[in-house]
Amino acid sequence: MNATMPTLAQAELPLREGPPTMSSSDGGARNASRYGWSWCALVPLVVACGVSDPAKQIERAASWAVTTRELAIERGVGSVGRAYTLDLLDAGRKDIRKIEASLDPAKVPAAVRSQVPGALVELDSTMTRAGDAVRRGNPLLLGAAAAAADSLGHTLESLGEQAGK
Amino acid sequence: MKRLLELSLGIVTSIGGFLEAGSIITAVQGGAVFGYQLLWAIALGTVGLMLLVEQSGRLACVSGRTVGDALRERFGINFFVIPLVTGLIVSFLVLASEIGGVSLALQMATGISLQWWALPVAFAGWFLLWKGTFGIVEKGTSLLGLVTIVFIVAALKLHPDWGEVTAGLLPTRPSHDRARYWYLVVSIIGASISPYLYMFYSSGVVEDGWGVDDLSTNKATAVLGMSFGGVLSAAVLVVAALVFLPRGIQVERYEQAGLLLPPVLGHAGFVLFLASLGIACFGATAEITLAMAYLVAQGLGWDWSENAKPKENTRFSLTYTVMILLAGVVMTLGVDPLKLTNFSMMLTAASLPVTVVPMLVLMNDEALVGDHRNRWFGNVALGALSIIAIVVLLSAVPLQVMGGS
Repeated sequence: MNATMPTLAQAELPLREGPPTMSSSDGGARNASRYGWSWCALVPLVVACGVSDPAKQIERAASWAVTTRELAIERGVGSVGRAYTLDLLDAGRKDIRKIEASLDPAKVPAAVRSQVPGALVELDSTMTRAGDAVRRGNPLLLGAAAAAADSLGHTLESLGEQAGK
Repeated sequence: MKRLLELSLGIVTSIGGFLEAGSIITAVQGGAVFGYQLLWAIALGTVGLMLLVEQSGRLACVSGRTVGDALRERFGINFFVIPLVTGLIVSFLVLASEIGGVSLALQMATGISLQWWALPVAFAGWFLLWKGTFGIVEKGTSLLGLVTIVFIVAALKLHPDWGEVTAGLLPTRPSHDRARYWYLVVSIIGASISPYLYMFYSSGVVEDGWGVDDLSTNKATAVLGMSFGGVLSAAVLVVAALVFLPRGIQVERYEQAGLLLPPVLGHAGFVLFLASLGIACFGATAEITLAMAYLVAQGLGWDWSENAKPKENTRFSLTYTVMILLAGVVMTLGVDPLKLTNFSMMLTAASLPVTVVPMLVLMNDEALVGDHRNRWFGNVALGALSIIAIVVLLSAVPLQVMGGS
């Protein structure tokens, strides 16, 4: 593997805006305090809604897209091992397929319903391409997979936000 | 001079032995989702552990009895069955997750599935216990565990905003995902205040033959060793807050944590992460196995000592042999290490009242600790910890269902 991957420098990658901050001054947090622990009584309801919450599942897929991007970059510069990269990509693909299978279209908001399945399939395919690039030791393909994963990450993040509204 | 050396070694081994599978992953998950907001949970857990380690060590120094011995003698065998059974179940799950942690580090290094590594890891742990002495088990693995200081190096290299880090030490309500937040709070507390830690510590005090003269060493080890250990845990969270949170990486698989250090330290970061995970979990594997064997032997009145040859304490050595091999077998069944670790940390937190509340009685029993019984500060602190432990117990199940999913 070439140690200098030409296509995608880590520094060029956009990070999610805003550093980790305290939320004590957040209006939502103040509002939440009014309700205190009362939500504990709603366990069954929250469980029923939470487990298949489409927004969370889409966010999870977005996290895998970013993981794929980071893996490709770190593998490209030789920071992480080949076996580890392939292993994690494989685990990610399995999780994406689980998300695809468990996502109930009826629960996905109409605004994003048509886009989510396609994005998930594309992510699965991108992860496969990244794996192939690692196996072949092809930095150009790996860079392209990283760029595709980066774009998919933004798409899925945006879809997750819309689904959560 | 010799005492100073012993003290330094005690503190250093406390630091090196602080991190394990649970404290690493709960700190990574906390930092990745909530930034510095969960630092207070690590601080609370560390203070709680410091308190329990100091008191269990003082109990052992003064009375020559371990926590297990004292519980059985003071409350009788009918009561002792509760901490015994609870402790064994919880510790067994934690043990399996630690074996999973070592196996995972090996999987990440070699690509060979962790299921293939679980039994060899369990065998290696057993071999260390069978052949080694208490000093080798405790100090050997903990000194190697100093590799975990890499997390502090990485945190410093990332130049965190110290104002925000300090603000994270104060509890705040989360702005999003409340169930997950409280779930992680409880898991972090469970990972910090594992009962096996102070059970093991008090047995170590007896194994090392500490007495009243060693009370100051005990206090210094508990306060300094645990504080520095807590700083290590906090460093893991800070790194996750600065590496994972801005990128939007949530930790769905334990393996994702392998991406924590490479952006800061390159290939060395990856290698040192694997070494930290493997060594920390291997040290914890040996300590938890011993702690379980101590608990059973002390509860049932068997002879026990890691410093004696296995054939001199056959029931004790048979107990740790069975425990570690069974835990290894569990990990060969394909259990997800992340789910097992999260679940066992939650269960550990829920089991705290069983040992923490009786400590209040033990540490005020003049027959056991004489003039060294708790003063008002010790009682107030332990009382507060008992209340926290009970709240954690009551909230553990709903949080596991809501936040763990």
